Amino acid sequence: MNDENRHIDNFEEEIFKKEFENLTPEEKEFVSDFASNENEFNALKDTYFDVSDFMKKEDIPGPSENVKDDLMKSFRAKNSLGGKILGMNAVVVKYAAAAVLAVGLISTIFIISLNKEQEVITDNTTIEKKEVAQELKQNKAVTKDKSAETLEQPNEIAEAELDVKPESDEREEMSKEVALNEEAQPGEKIDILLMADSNVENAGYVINRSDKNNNDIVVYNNPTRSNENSTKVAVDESIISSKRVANASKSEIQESYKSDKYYQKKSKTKGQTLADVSYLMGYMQVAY
Amino acid sequence: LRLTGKKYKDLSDEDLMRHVGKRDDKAFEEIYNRYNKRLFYYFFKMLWKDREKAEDFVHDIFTKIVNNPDIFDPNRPFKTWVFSVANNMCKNEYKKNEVRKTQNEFEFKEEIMPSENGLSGAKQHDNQVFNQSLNREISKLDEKHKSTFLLRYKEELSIKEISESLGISEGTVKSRLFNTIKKISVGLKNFDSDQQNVQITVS
Repeated sequence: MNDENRHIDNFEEEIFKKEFENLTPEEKEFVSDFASNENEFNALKDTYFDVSDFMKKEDIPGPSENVKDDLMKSFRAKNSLGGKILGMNAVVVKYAAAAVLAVGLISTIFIISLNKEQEVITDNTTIEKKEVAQELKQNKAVTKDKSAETLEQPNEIAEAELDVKPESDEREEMSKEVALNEEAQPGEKIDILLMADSNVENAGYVINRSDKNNNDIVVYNNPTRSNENSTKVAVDESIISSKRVANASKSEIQESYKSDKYYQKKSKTKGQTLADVSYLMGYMQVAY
Repeated sequence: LRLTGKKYKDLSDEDLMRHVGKRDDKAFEEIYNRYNKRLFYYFFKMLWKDREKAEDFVHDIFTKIVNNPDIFDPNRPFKTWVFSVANNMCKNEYKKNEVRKTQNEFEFKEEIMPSENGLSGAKQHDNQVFNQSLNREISKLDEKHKSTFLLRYKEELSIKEISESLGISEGTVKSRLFNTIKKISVGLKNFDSDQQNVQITVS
């Protein structure tokens, strides 16, 4: 502390340690408001020393321990994770709430648009249902004899009738350029689009795969069901239910087919609507 | 990183408050330990020696820190800030209790007096009488003079710190301090005269 500040901080003492007549003109001027003569000045001086001495000595008990305990609890609670979230200031909370709402809104819009897309697929499938089913029935006998590993082009089905999406046209065009009955190679991935009606009575699938030159090949197959009375979507045993075994060997796929996981997946489709089935089983990968 | 107990004691008030801002409960405990008694004394003297109220006010002022540790700017002196808040709380209480203030302005309550060990019985008695009379005179002070007086002679704040805490000029602080000493001096003189009169009457 410099001299000026020290003088300011001890200004009472600077004045009261002096005799009245020894005060500087400035000090005398200041003191004159409170003491007009030496006796009054000395009375002030005595009081000042008594008071400052008394105040230094005086002591009273502080607040009870409960106050501290309560405050410490509050502080810890406030600064726990939950407390921090609740204790965030209004601006932060506002921004957080706005962000959550925005994310929620975007998610909702996304889900709605996704559902609409699924509905379009479903609707198209339903419209084509009878024709496809008819065609599939005609080919049933042939297909049953085929090995599960071999995918064949059902010649009788008009491909245009089975296209459910505009993209299928492109695939179809490309597929014409390659051999339709080209056999899949081991480990090759093939997308399968399930098609089924609302009762899941008639199900079929469109197999879309690429050949060695990455040309798309679209192969249609008739539906197979686990048994004649089944209302489940029945899928060829080569279709696997998850990507986990997408690159698995045939034996592994068959194991997967028999595994609990497969049946769980299958049971999930039971009694569900076509949209649900399409959503759940829609594009799947198959490996040979 | 958390500091050890000893390190907290070495920190300045402002550094402790920086830690409090980072939700450090040990720092909060240390700042509480440093100020709870001082604030209690201030509130007790300012609020008509109402112990319960003083305790509530200590709780409230620290709750402000608990709820919003960033309320304090660590670049300012904590002591000045905390007594400024305390003074504002008292001002509000005075406004709310205008009637009570008037009624109790001259009320005197017994307090725990400074220890007088080592003094003779007569001297001890004299000191107790003096202390009581001094306390009485302090109690009579209005809120402005009392707050200035307490901050100066109990908290030993500098003139500048008091001026910042109370939001008044340094000249006003000096003037209030001298006025207070004069009021107490006059009060004690009158008390002495009364005592002498009593003694003369008794004898």
